[in-house]
This record gives sequence, structure tokens and C-alpha cells, in this order.
Amino acid sequence: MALKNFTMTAARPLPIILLADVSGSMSVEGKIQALNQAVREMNMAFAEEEAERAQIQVAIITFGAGGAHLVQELTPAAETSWQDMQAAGSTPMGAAFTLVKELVEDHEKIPSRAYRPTLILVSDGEPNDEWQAPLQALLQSERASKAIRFAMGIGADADTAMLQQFIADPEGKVFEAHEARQIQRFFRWVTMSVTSRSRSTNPNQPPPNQPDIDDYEF
Amino acid sequence: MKQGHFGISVRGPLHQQQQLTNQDAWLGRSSRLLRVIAVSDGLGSRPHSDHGAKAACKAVIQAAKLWAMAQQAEPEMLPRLIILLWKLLLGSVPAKDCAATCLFALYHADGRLLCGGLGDGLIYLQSQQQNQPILERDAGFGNETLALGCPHKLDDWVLHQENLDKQAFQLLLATDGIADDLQPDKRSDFIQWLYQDFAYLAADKRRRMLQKELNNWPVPHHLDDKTLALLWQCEDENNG
Repeated sequence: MALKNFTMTAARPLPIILLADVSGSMSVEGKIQALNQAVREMNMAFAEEEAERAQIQVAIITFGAGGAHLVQELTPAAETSWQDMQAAGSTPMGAAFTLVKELVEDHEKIPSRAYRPTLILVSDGEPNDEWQAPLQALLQSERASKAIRFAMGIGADADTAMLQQFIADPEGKVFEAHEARQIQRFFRWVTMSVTSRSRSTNPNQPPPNQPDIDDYEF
Repeated sequence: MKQGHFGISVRGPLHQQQQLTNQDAWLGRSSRLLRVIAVSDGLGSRPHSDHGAKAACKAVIQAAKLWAMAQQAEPEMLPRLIILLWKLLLGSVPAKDCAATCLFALYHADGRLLCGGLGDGLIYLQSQQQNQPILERDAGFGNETLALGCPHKLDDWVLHQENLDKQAFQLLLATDGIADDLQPDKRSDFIQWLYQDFAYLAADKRRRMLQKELNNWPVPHHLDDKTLALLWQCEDENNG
């Protein structure tokens, strides 16, 4: 009998969960195209990353026409096959909060050996479903409350105050994108943050400082 | 009945790369009255966690002797003794710089087993009544743990006591470098493998073989230090 008969076959997961606004308003000014491009680049960067300590896994939850949907289960980045998101419908963000809470609290999908998940919320508007109770449930749940959270508001109509509540960190700031190319900057920053965590001695630690988004145009 | 114990601790690839010492520790002692094992995982973020881990294991041994000599000592008194002795053993080094988990098991000559601890890792007991973890990571995420030297309550300590007089059993303590990488439904098989393949070897040979196994840990990207200790009791006629 050999040791490998008793041990896991995969490295510890480092889960990244994107909550993407795909409401109708994202279809104008090239926002959804920029988001698709940015997420595609992020996935490719993660897939190419030779993480020393962790296996980067990516899940995507969209909220728009028809409610919130887990369009990509947590999947090792190298195994993802990206499908562009389509923008339509309203902004059911509360449903997305409920869905992400269920995912993070699911010990089968995110085992306790996993490092703290990163939640990334991207929206260009105000939620138009009941969102306050689901957000509180998310922030107060045992595991989801420990997740590292980033948020980006796109355009002038983004509900920055609500996004700040999602971050729930007085020192954390909502990234504001006033034009489509800033969406890619944000995702490049997220990519740098995650890959540096995956190489660090303690991937549970969030990055100490969030640099200005304008620093991240490569 | 016949009893025994053994343990091993190896430095993980991360600390080898960084030319740091092993921040895990283990210790085992036995006398006519008592057999004790302890493992500890020093928190990587603390500068003297290797010192804290060694002190935690020594504190367990010393606390267990005092506890076992007392008549009618309550299990809840043992964590208090461990904390006190750990702080004494640290000397002038601040406790927060030495934070370390602390898992232990002691088997008294009267048949009482007391095991428990503070922090992540695994305590797994196999006996006629039990085949399940006593302590395991059940919430939170990897590398998050309670520890000596970190704020905690006495209620955070896991304590389990049962009478195993004249019963065969095996009890495993493991730090998270091992515990988090075991398949949950294979932990019992892992303990059987340890017991059957290593318990009756000569100590030197056992140490060399276990070191080799743990240094060749088969999980991709593993970096943690790895430490385990096994305490067992069997019928006299079993093996050597």
C-alpha cells in the first residue's frame, strides 16, 4: 500500500467567484464586450499561472434576464472554456448574493482545505430585487464572511454605496470604471492580486493595499 | 494489553526553499502511569513559531504528568495547565510571536484516554466504539486556525475522554500539512497503514522510512511541514 492511496490528488483550491452584472444596461457603450474580454484574459492568465501553493479555480455567477445563474461551476482555470456573456434584462443582484452564499457554504464544492475564496462583484446599476437581506446573510455567514471581496462600479449609474456594503471593509475601496477599458484594468489588477496570493506563503492573506486602478495598464 | 507510540515531523518544501527550520514539532513519552503524544504546528506568520511548537509539545508532556498524578482531576484542567506551562517554557519570547496549535493524547494506566487540542489538524480515533475524527477542520478555510498565543477561549479547546481499558485502539494526531491532504474516507485506512507497516519496526528504521514517505508526499504543490504521531494499544499476542 502506498501513501498516494490515501491522499488528495489535487493541490489546495484557491476559488475565484465572479458575480457579473449582465443586465440590459451593460449592452451599451461596449461594457459587456469589455467585461467579456477582461474575464477571458483573466481566465487565460490563471490557466497559464504555475501556482506554487494552490490550484486557481474560477466560477461565474451572472445576474440579468431570468435571474441569477451559476454559468460556470468552480473549475480549475486551465480547464475552463469561456462563453461570452450576453446582456439583457434587469439587475437581480440579491439573487446573486443568495447563490454565491450557497456556493461558498457548500463544503463539497469548496472543501475546508481550500484557501479563502475571492468574490468579485461587477455592476453598472442599482439592484432591482430585494438585495439587503441576501447581502446581510452573505456577510454574516460563517465562511462567506471570510471571503476576500472586491467590487467594481461601471459608469455613473453604479450604486457605489451598495458596492461598498458588499466589500464591508472601511479600508477597501470600490473600483470605479468610467470607461470600458478601465474594466480590463480592474481585472488585470485582480489577476495580479490572485496570482501573487497563489505564490505567497499564506494565500489566505488579502493584498495589503489596493493600488490605484490607473496603475494597472500593461 | 500492549501499548506503543511513535511520531515523525518533516520540514516541508516551503521552509526548505526559504532555509527556515521546521515549524512543526512532535513529542511522545511513556511511563508506568502514562503514555502521552503531542503534535504542534507553529503559525508561519509568527517569527518564533518553531520555538512555540516545541514548547507546546513539552508543555503537554509536563501538564499530562501533573494532571495524571492528581486524583479526580477534571479534563478541563489540562488545557489550563498546558497554557500556563507553555508560557513558562517560552521564557522571555512574547507568546504572540510563538503562536502554535496544540494537539495531544494521553493514555492512563487505568484505561482512560484523554485527547483533544486547540487549532487545526486531525485527531482520529479507531476503537471498538469509535472510528471517526475527534478533531478536524470543519469550518473556515486552509491555514486559518486557533492557536496558543492567539486570543481564544477555553471553550475553543476540544476535549474527549473515554475508557479504553483492555481494548485495542489506534489514535492519530496530525498537523494540517497531513490532515488537509488526506481523503476523508481514507483516513481510517491511512491509520491502519501506519500501524501495520510501522508500529513494530525498530525506531531507527521506522524514522527513516517515515521520513522518506513524508518527504515524498504525493499531493501536487504541497509545501507545508508535516507531522504525525500514533498511539496504539493491542492484544499481547499481536505482532512483536
